[in-house]
Amino acid sequence: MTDFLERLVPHLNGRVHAPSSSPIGEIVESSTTEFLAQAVELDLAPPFGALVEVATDDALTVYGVVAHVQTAGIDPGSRAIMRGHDDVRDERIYQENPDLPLVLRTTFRAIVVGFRVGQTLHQFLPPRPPRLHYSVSICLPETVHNFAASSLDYLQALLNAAEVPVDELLAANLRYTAAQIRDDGAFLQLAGRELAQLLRADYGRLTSILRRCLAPIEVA
Amino acid sequence: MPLDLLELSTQVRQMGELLAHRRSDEQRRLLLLDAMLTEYRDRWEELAELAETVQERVAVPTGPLDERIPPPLRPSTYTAMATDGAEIDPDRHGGSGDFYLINIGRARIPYGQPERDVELRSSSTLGYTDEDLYIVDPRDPRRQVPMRDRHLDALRTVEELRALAELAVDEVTNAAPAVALVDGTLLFSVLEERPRDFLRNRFYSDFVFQLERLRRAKVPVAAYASRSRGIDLVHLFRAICGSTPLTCDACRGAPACALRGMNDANLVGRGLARWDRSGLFRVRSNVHDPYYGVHRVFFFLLNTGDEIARIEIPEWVARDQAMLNLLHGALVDQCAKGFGYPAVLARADDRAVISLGDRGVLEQLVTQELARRGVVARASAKLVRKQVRTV
Repeated sequence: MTDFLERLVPHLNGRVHAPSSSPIGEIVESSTTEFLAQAVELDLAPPFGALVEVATDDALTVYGVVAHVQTAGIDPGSRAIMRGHDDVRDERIYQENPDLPLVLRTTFRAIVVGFRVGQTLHQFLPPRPPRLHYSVSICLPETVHNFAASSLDYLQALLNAAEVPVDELLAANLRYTAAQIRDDGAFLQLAGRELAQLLRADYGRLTSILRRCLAPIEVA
Repeated sequence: MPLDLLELSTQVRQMGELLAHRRSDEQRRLLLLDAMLTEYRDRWEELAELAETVQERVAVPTGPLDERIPPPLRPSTYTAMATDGAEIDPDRHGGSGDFYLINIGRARIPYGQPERDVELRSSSTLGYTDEDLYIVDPRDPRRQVPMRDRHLDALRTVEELRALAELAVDEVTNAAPAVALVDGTLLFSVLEERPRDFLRNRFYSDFVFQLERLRRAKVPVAAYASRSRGIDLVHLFRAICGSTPLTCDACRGAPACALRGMNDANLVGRGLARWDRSGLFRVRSNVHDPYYGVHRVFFFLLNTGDEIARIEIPEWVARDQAMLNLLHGALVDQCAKGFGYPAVLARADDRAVISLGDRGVLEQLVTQELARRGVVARASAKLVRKQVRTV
């Protein structure tokens, strides 16, 4: 199992992301249950299912799980249109139109799954949402480890998330967390048991999520 | 519902009938005009001479009328610059007092120069002092004209070119060739104010000064008019035939002049294949020429595939073959990238547009500032009536 976990480098849109404390996005919409952030660089959003954090000034750090990533025109009314022609395809389209990165933006939505005050972690909703325009960072592996080790109550929050592919999100988050923790599958076993509790009335759904957690995926 | 749709639908039907008839009539008249064009095709020098004697604004041909120049190779490395503007007129009915706003969008896109950054931004200026709000005759301060409507349009046009000149001056140190575009025309209109036309003097002098900055920066500048309805050449032909259809050889006694409702694109644009440009025409304008000097305006038409665009350039660009070729090639590349409209101009326009939301925010800012200073902003009775509909 560790083989595929090692290969499971978090990916999105073909670019590799090493978790770091440098900001990957800035909050442009914020609420108690979720926040929307604009990626600092076009196409460079955290992976689907990744744990991200927003630190505020008053020792409150809010954690979220990336549930949706989108790239579109910055202006609400503007729509991307096909620009490829002849041999101008893919990356060459961007080379031919260097203004595109300034009129497009990548945004990602994160479901709030917990927060930390000082050294204490909580897996329920924070007293106030993260502040607008504050930086979002991908959590370092040790933070992911601490968050997952403290409790798995947050899985309930993901299960109840609205307007997202919940099962896919759960599976993606478990794969991502396991890859960050690298504990020979101990986390996945624990999470599997927790999911079995939560989905005890729906065996079919449970197994489908678990299959997705364990499926090896090739990432270049 | 304020529209009487029942009555309107009848009118729309009648209008459709008339438009269809007009379209078929246009085809007939184009055939008549073809004969006239063929006759004058190679007699362009004669036409040019005649143009110099005409009073109204006309196009002076500089070569055969059916001249068409195929596109040069599209440059792969060049810098495209453009500016575009929008304004908020002083609101007579709002209570926030007199002020106007001019927003200029600027775009600089370096193509084929991955080490350089794209620049897309806008700069907004509020006009609120007496000097901003009134144009005063320097020789007689009692004569003053409010800066609004068409005068504000003229000021915006000058500011667009000023921003473009600033972009061009920054570009001097760069090795890649550059082109600078504005939307519309270089021959903007300013109402006459007699005696001593201080309005034209003010706007045109400043405009020409900016053109001079562009000339010194050696950046070819052009004004781009999409689906041009320019009629300078039509005016020239009208001057020839006297616009008297009954005795005219071209119209052969038709009830109306074949040139009526036609534009230059109808006359010389039809022969252009995609990306071809027409020959150059100089615009002879008694209004502009005295101010423009070495920046007298020339134009050519360009077939962008879906339409005929008119591109106006100052004389120093028209007389420089290298600049002209660069401009033609860059425009073809720009229109291809922008799906029929120069991509860089579209970006400048994006930055210039003032949305309804922005207007609201500005109004609120001004109202708050006034309130902070104890001044109550009261809208006119008419505006209040529009905002709160009473029954």
